[in-house]
Amino acid sequence: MNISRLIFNEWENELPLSLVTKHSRRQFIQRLTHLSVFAAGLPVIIKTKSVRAADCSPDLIKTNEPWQTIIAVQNHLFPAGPKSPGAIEIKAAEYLQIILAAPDMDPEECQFIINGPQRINALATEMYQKKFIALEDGAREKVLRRIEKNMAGRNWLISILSYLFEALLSDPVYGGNPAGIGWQWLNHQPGYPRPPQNKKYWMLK
Amino acid sequence: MSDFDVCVIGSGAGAGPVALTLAEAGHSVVVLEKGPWFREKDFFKDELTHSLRRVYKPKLQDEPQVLEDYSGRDENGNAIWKSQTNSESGRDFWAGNCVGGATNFMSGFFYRMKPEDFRLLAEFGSIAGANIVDWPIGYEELEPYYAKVEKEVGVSGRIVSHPFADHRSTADFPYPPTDEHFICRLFDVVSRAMKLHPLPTPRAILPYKAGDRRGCEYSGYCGDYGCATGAKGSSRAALLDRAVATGKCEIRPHAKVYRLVSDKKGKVKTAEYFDKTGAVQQISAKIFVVACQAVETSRLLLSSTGPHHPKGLGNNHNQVGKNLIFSTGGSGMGEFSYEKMSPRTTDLLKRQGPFVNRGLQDWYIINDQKLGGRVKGGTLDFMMRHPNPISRAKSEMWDWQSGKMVWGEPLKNKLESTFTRSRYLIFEVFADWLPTDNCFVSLDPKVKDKWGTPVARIRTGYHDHALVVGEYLAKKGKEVLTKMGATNVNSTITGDPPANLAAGGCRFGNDPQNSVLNADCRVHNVDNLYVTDGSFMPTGGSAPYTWTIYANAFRVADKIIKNL
Repeated sequence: MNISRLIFNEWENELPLSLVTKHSRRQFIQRLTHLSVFAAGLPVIIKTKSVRAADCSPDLIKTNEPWQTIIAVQNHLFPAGPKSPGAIEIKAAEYLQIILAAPDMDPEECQFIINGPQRINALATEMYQKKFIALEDGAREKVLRRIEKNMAGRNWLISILSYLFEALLSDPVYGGNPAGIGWQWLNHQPGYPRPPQNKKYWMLK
Repeated sequence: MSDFDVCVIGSGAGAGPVALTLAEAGHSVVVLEKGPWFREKDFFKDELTHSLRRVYKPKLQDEPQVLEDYSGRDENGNAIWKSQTNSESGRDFWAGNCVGGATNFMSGFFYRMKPEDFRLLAEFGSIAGANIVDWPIGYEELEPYYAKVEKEVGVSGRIVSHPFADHRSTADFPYPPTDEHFICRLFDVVSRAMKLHPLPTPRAILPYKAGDRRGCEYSGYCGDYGCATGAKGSSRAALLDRAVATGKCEIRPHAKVYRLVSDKKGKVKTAEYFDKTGAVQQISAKIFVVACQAVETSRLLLSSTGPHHPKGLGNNHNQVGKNLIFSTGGSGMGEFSYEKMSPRTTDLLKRQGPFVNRGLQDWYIINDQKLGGRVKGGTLDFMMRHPNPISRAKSEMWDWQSGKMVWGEPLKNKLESTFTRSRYLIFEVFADWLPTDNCFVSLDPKVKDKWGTPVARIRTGYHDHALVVGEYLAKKGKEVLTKMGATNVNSTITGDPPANLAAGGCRFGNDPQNSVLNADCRVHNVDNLYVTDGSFMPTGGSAPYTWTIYANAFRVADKIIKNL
């Protein structure tokens, strides 16, 4: 078995079932339309085995791993443009840290996200003999496209992008979208009343 | 001596009318609700809370359900039903676990059923493979209660001439329509040019303050969201708050009823529930009313075995849980691009807040040889695409043709395009979900919830006829959108059931052999047990159920008063 196959096999063993169902196309479509009445008719990620629940208390120092790699991936997926914010401007990493530490966070999902950089760096090293952050854009793209073809890798990328969209467009009370920078870029008008600090979703019971 | 005159289990559309009517009549009422009690002050326009996290639904690892999906046929031609817990499938049938239930989060599109819906079998005949029966009551018996809901819940609307106009005992709605979006004008002009009858959709939304409830403030986030003003006619805001104010109604949140205990004669004596701490509590009452949503109502009855009910309450003829129905069956969408419009029109189209409030019922009954002659049709309901930005953004991470993910500059271009260059008008299709032997609720023999009680096992087979009708209606909807100037018009019709529009499972009827409830919605062989949520419906009409559930619950409340 080659090394990348080994990397992916191990990664797939860590993929929480709950995350796979959360990322199914059906879920995306339902949330998009709010109709709840759809057959997918689109590729659905197949299920995998569930993993044992784990505690998740990630290192929060951004200059350490896994954050160096996560931040590099976020910047690659969502770069800043001349007139548009990128992952840094929307505080994607800070937001992700807050959400991973939220009381309702599934520890398996948290651990899966935190463990991703290990796999990415193992693959980058196999392909280019360098860690992901040391790669040029073109090589980063190739690593991520290779990851996308694997079920665990694809789910990891979906997670990173999904939380990135939340950082872009959720209420700034959650720590992303500073001063509504994402809303302004996309001319989005938020609803009101907006959530105050003491009514974040994990506080409502 | 009973603790209360009436114990109501659940607090949604089937519960609020009973609690209010009985409390106002001076009877003591307790409402047991599994979820928490949120008020207006707890509702914010927060997409994470309302759409992306499980704040108003239980966690699936705590309260799983087992779903059976059709997955082809074996070599002998027998259907294969594949079962999965919903932690595997990602689907569930929970909706609105809090005081007021799913009515807190409805859009409030309110349609009455038509007289023909009460006699579907007599009007349109049988369909092979479908268990269609006529209702034991007619429209005329429910009509006064539809009118009562308009007043008590607060329904806003406008009467127009229409081939399928409702027969009404009152001249007009008690409230005028809510503010309407600019696109309604275009919709009306185009529809009329097509010889159609644009129908202002009645809404359970107050256009202005009434009593303790404020009027709509048009924030643009309505469906799926709890209402911060009380304008939306949820069971909680419109009915239960008033019931509590009588001093005769107590609401107990965090009360998960798991069993109704019956005596040797079959009469229900107590409801047993787990409180917030997980401790078992018990309540006695003269009359019990179950209204905890179709799936959970059947589950509770099946779980409540007793000396007179060895297979569960009302289940002597194996009817509980059978003939579950949903609302069929899909939607369509068209894009209105700003670049083809004047700045003034663009500005009007961008406006967020006012409602589209338009439906078409010109095909409520279809007379077309392509469908085999006269058949039951349905409703098209139009609305703007929901503004939820995160959900919209997530849909842009895919190239739907190749199935590949999109990121980097191409992703940002897609986001800019979808958010800033156009708006989308959507239609929902409502046709009859035909009851069949392959759509039912039972108890799963193995899977338990966090309290250790058996969970619901739900089979959701659909009848192909519903999809044929759905496609017919969707084609009409697409024609309207195209004539309006929309581009990228498309639709999807499906037998995939919506979680928030479930009914049946305890159908009412005159024959105990093939129904669970009598015409008064009392369980056939139990003197003091009623079911008032959508479970009673043998067929569901071709529109959202909520108004009919509200109306029937008011009707049954009057019957209960006579039985006390």
